[in-house]
Amino acid sequence: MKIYFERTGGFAGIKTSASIDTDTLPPNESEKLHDMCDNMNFFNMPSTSAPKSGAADLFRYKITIESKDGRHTVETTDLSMTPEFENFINFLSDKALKK
Amino acid sequence: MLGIVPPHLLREIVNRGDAGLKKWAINTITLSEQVRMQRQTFVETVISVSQQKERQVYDAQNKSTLPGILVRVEGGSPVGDAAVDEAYDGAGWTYDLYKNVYGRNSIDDKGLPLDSSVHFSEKYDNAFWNGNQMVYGDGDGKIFNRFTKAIDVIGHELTHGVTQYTAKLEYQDQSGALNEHISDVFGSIVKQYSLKQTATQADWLIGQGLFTPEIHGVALRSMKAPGTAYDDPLIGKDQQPGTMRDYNDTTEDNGGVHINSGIPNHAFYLIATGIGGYSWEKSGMIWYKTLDLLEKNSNFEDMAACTFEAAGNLFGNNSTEQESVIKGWNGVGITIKK
Repeated sequence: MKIYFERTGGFAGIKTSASIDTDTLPPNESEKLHDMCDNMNFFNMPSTSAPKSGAADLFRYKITIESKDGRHTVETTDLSMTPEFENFINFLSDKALKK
Repeated sequence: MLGIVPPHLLREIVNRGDAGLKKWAINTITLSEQVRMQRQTFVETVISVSQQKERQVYDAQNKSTLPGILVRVEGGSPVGDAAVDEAYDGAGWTYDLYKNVYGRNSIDDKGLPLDSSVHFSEKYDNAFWNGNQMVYGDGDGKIFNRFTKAIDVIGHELTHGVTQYTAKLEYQDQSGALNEHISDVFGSIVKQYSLKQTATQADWLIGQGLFTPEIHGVALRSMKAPGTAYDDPLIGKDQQPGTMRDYNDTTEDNGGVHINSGIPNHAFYLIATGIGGYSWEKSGMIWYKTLDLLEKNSNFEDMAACTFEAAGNLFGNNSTEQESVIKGWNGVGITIKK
């Protein structure tokens, strides 16, 4: 499974990104990511969410996942995420920081 | 309690009591005696009560549900949690600036309570305005410190609220960059106001102190020298342009609202230092009056024209202040169309 993670916007306006191929990860991490993906039903998530009026300096996230199930992109902000998606984002943000 | 305290006594408490008592009395009046009170008296006393700041700080406890748990209210003592106390103090300075200098009673000019949530999410490298309140993260500790550490961040976020109620600039492309710019301007002014610095003494940096010592950078942005604030392998280089020639037509970041704000930011720096003295007095006043002249899709040229008009209204046409405004916009490659 290939994951492309991109975070833009925010107060600082700094772009953070990461490309992850789960085949190259240690098995427990690869499994964790696959589980997260299944739990949040990624491939059925809406591609975009309605903008929050009046909000400013939110992070904008763009996640693309390619797997045997196909390819799907989701764009969202800090204010329109399910808890499972938020977990996933935090995990990816962490990975992007450490590279 | 309803009906026990007679209306004339409630009225006395409203007139003489402290904030807490006033509020109780008014609630009691509202509930039980409204029909018997003169409507005018009621309206007058409600207005007089909300002519002061009302701060509330919440602890989001590293979750992303807002607002979190209420941990400090207006008039409450410091709690010893740096993020809480900084959010409280910074909101106070911002309210005081708007009230004392511009006569504005909070974000909506009607005494809107100032709500802040700190400890949002985990290792959250950001602060934002959600349309109703301010939200601050703790930073990841490697690149960023907590976001309440810089008072201009607090002023910046609160000012998004002010813009929402005045100019209503759309958060996209040039109008979005102006929205960002206005938050940087008044964020910087709050910092200078709290330090009693003149325009010449100010550092004109946004978010100084947010980076950890590991990062090669002095701040997130520089109004004095856009593009020079940071350069580090972990986060890249400050991308802000300082002139229209270098405007960045990106699609990211809502059309580069945090990037292209560098252009009007630099114009304000040139104008404020050109006029001299405290930047909140003349330049800040021009910018504050401009908020009522802008429209939601105003672009940089519109902004320049509006500041020219505001300066003319405040200081007279062909005044030295208006001349400084023209020069400042010229300095970033924008000619004012009179």
